[in-house]
Amino acid sequence: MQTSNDLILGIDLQEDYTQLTYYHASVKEPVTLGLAPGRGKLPGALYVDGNRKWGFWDKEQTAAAGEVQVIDHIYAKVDRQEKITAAGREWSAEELLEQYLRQCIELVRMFRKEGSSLYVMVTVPALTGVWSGCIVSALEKIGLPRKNIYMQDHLTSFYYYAVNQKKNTWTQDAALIEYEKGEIRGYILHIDSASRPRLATVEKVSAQKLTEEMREGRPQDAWDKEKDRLFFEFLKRVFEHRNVSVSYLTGDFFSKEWAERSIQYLCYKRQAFQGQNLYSKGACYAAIERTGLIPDRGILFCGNDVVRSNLGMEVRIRGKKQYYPLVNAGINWYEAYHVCELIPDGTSNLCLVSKPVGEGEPVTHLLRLDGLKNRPNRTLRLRLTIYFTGAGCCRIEAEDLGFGQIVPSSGKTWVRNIQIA
Amino acid sequence: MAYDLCLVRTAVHPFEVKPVCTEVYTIEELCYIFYHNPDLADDTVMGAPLCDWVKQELGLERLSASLRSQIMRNDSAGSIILSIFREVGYLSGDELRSFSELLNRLDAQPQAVKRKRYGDALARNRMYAKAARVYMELLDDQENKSLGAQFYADVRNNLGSVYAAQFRYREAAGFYYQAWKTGKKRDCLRRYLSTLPLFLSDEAYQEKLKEEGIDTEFARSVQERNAQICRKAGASAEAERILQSGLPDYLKKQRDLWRKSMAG
Repeated sequence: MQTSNDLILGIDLQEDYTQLTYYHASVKEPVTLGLAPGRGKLPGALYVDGNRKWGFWDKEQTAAAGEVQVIDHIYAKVDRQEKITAAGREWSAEELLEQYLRQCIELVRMFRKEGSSLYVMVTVPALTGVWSGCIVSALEKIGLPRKNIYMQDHLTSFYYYAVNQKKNTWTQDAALIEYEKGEIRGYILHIDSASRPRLATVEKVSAQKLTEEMREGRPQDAWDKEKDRLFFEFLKRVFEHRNVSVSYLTGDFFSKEWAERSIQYLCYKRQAFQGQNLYSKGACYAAIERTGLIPDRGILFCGNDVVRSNLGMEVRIRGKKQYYPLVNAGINWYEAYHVCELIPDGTSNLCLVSKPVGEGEPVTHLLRLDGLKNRPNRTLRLRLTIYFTGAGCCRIEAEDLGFGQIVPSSGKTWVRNIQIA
Repeated sequence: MAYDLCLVRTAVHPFEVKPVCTEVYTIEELCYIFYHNPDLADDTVMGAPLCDWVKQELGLERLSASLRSQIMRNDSAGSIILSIFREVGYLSGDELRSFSELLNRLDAQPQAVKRKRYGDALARNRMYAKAARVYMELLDDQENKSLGAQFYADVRNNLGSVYAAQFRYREAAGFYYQAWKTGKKRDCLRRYLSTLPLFLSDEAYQEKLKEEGIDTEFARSVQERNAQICRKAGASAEAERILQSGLPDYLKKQRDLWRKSMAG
């Protein structure tokens, strides 16, 4: 990994807590940060005082802070787009998230040098349109340019975490096992080495309900045995017919105290790791790759939300014709966004080309720039904005910026929605 | 078919191309003006303010330094234009070669021809007052006999057109007449005849035709053609649109254009 004076953050937002992992020239590997040494989880709640000063609400540290209003369950409030009233005014979900993320970024303020950039990858369990809009809006209000903001879901973070470990751990399949909302879930990361580029997928392969209700009055040792049995059966389903070389267990649910037999099975001819910061580290690794500090490893991750085609145009750059990429395959569709300005020469159409990664022929997409009669050639300066409204749905907007005092803008904007593979 | 990707930022503060009183905000706008009007690249354009603007507003430090050196060396305006085109890649290799050859040919012409071309460029860009001054200076300084009577007839013809554009029809007619008499071009006669009815009564117009011995059939055909042009313009969709809903904006635009054309 190359080093950089820029600061790169991975922020894992979860219902009850947040984890923050940063990467910087001062460290060799991403480091997870907390409010205090040994406390890697950030509270999922804030406080605000009468002067509208915000801070993390940590019962242990801020109990003596005086009269403050506590806003807890920040994640749930943003998810439900709930407004709150605090410090004499109403706050939207976006503003709440903005305050929360400000606190996160404040923790790493000492690593920011003048002239350096800040890149942030936010990861959440499931990335929806609501979350992507809120995250972008909140971080832009904090001052980050749009191009420095990234988002992805937990499974994508798992992929980035896994492929940034030693290569021998992911040459075969890798398993992710987590316990969430009363259920153990198993996912398999598989990389198809036969294709070019290599295609990586993560799919859910098994689930096992495991709640306190299922205890049915058993004493502790019997309950531990039952949990171990259920977990063992679950693992057999995860690993059957697969070559899994490594397993990652997230969270602190899994313990040798009750899962003795399961963990023995888990570790038989396989590596196994347990940790709490897989997603935030994975997010940080992903952001590092986006900034180019890690060379392209030739793998395309085919997540649910990933754009699977390259979209670009043939343009002239300083007089030379070349391919200009607008959106690269492999990024999350929520993040896919590009703006550029160009001047057509000898045409009144915009011509874009999409090509699926792997198999598939290129497809040409035409946007007709109608209604510009008698416009002299090379006097139409267009602002081209590309963004996605779904994993395969791309929206192209071309706005006539005019040509200064030579030719005023017509005020027209042309729009086309295209489907790409 | 091609698309030029705009890599240079848009200026916050524009640069004024003084000869045409036009403010430009981008390097592409500047290139467009120079490409279509290379004759306008005079000392009022190619100077320190241009170099400063290129550096401070567009962020093109290397180009600014290069232009400054060229200006200090008194390089020709054409070579300075080409430097700008090369930096931006405004023209393809072949286009750049052709344009360079054109600039060389223009640069080799006598000074009076260059001044006329300057006036022509001003007139094309509706800077009528400035164009008129350039033409008048040429007529006042007719030292270069080797250019021949036809050259100065053309200058008079263009001066007539510039005055006509300013609605100064009597003066326009005077210069068209001189152009016709010295250059003998039928087009000059046609323009002269087209201008006369704009300030003469019918009776005076007929008197003038008799006085000059102008063929009345030819004069009639000229007026018929002009009437046809006016009818067609009046019946066009654009005229309809202006009369229906765009008259105030149209008049304002024409007033602004006229004020700009008189600047100078």
